[in-house]
Amino acid sequence: MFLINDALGFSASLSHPKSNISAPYLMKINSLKRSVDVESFEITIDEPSLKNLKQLSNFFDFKDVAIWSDLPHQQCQFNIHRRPFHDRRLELMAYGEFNIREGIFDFQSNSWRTNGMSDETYLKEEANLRFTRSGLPVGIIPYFHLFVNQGEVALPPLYVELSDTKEEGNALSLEGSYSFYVDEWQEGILSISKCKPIA
Amino acid sequence: MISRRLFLKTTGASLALAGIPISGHTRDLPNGNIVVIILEGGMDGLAAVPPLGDPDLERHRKALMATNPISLNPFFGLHPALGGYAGMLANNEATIIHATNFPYTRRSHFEGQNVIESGNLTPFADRSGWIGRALDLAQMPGRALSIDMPLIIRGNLNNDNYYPASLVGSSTASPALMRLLSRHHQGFTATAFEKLSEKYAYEEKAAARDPVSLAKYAGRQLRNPQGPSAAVLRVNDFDTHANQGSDKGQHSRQLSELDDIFLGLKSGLKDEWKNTIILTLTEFGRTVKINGTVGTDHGFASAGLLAGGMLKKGQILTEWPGLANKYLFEKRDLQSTIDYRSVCAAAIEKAYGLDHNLIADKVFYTPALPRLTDKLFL
Repeated sequence: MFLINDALGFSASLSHPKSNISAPYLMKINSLKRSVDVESFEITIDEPSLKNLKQLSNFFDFKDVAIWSDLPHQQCQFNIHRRPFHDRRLELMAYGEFNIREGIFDFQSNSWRTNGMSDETYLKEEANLRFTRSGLPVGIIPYFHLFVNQGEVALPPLYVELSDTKEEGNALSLEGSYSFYVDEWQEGILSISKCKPIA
Repeated sequence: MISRRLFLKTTGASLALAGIPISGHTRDLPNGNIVVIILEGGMDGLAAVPPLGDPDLERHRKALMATNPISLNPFFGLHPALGGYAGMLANNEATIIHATNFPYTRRSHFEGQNVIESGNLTPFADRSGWIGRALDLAQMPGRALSIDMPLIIRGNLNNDNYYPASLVGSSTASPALMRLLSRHHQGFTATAFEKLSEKYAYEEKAAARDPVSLAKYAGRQLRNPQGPSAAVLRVNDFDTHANQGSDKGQHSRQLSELDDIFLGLKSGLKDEWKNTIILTLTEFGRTVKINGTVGTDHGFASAGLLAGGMLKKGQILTEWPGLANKYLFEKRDLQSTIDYRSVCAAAIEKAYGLDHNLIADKVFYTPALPRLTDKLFL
C-alpha cells in the first residue's frame, strides 16, 4: 500500500480501477523532483534576428511598396496561363474574378484546371497581392504549376512572386497581362480584364 | 510522373480531427480549439531549445549544438530551424515549457507514446485518450477525420473516424442514398448506414498529406463553426540515435518540418488562431551526452512548444534543473521538473471551459495534478 504524497508534483492515483503500476516504478515516479515555483524567462529577440526569421509562405513585405490605395473599387476577371520558355505556348491554368479595394486584391470565385489539390480556397485565402502606383500587381500568390492526372499524387502549390513585368495593356490600368517567373522551364501570365466599378 | 521517394515523402505526417458535431446533436460550442502535434521518436529538447547559459551544455554535447542559435534571452536559445516559431515567441503567441514531460521514465517508444496519448501512466491500461475524455466531459461527441483512430482522441462510442483520400478520382456516396438505406434496415445495419450518411454529408475535399498542407487543412477545418474542436498531427523521425546533426541533419530537418506546421496552422486558422491552443507532445527527450554514433538515446525530460492566440505571452517556463552530472536523472537524462500533464490540463481548461479539478481527476486520474493555467493563458 502506498501513500500518495501530496507535497510532490508527480503523483499517480492509486484509486483508478485500471491502475496496475508496479510498486517500485510508482516509488520512482513519486520520488521525482517536482517544481514548486516555475520560473518565467522573458523573450528578448534582437531586431536583426527578427528580420531574418522564417515567415508564412505567402508573406511579402509591402513596407517599401507604394500601394495605389485610392484606386477606385473594381471587380475584374482574370486568367492565369502557363507559358513554357521553349515554345511559349499558353496553357490555361486558372480563371475567375476578384475585387480590388484600397489596392488590395480579394479573390472571389475561381477555378483551377490543374486538378489535384487545387481549389478556389488557395487564391481566396492565401493570395497576398497589391496594386501599386506604378501600375503593377505586387506580392505573392499560390500557383499550381502542374496538371495532375487521375491516380497521381497531388502536390501543394508553389508560392510565386509577382513584381514588375507588364506585357500588355495600358500603363496605370489594372487591365492587362503580367508575367511572373515560376521555375527554369516556365513562367506564368496573370491576365486581368473586364473590370467594372463596385461599391 | 511522381517519384516513389516524393510520394513517400508526402505521406510522412498524419492528421486527425475530433469534436465535430454530429448533425442533429445540439451542444454549446466550446470557446477554443486544441491542436496537438505529436513528435514521434523523442524530440531532443536540449537541441531545440538549448540552455546556452548552462555551463555544462557545451561540455556534454558540443557536436550537437547549432552554431547559430536564435538567442531568446541570456540563458536560452532556439534552434535556427524554428525561425517561424521564434517570430511567434516575439509576438507573444508562443510559450516554451522546458525540462518537462509526462512522468514516464521507462524510455520505451511504444509505452511512452501510449502514455502521452492515453494520459494514463500505466501503459496500455486505457482504451481512451486524454483529448477524447476531455471532449466527453465537455459533452462534445463527434467525429474524427483520420485514416485510423489515434488513441489520443478516442472517447465514447459516438466518436468515429473517416479519412479523406488524397488521390484524385476517389468518389463519395450520396448521403441521401445512405439515409434511404438506413430507413430500410434495422438494428446495427441501419445504424451503420446512418453513420455513413453523416460522414458523406460532411463534405470533404481531399487534402495533401505533406505536413504543411495538413496543418493548413486542419486550420481551415477548425475555423468552421460546425467543424472539429481538436486536431492531432503526427510528425515522425525524431529518434536520432545516430548522426543527429546540429545546424543541419535529421533532427534539424524535423524541427524545420515542425516549424512549417506551426506556420501552416496559423495560415489555415486565420482569425480562429486567437481561440486556439497548439502544443507539442513527445514520448521522452534524449540523453544529455552524445553517444558513440554522434546521436543521442532515449531520455526523460524534453521541451514542450506551445503556440496560439490564447497564450499569455512569449516566455520560457521552467524550473531549470541543471546539466551537471549530479543533477541528471539516473546520471544520463535531463531531469523533468514540470509535469507536462499540467500543461495539457491547462489547455483543456482554457479551450473547453472545464474545471481543473475535474480534468485532473477524470482525464488524468490525478486529483493532485498541479494547475498551471494562470501562468500560461490570458
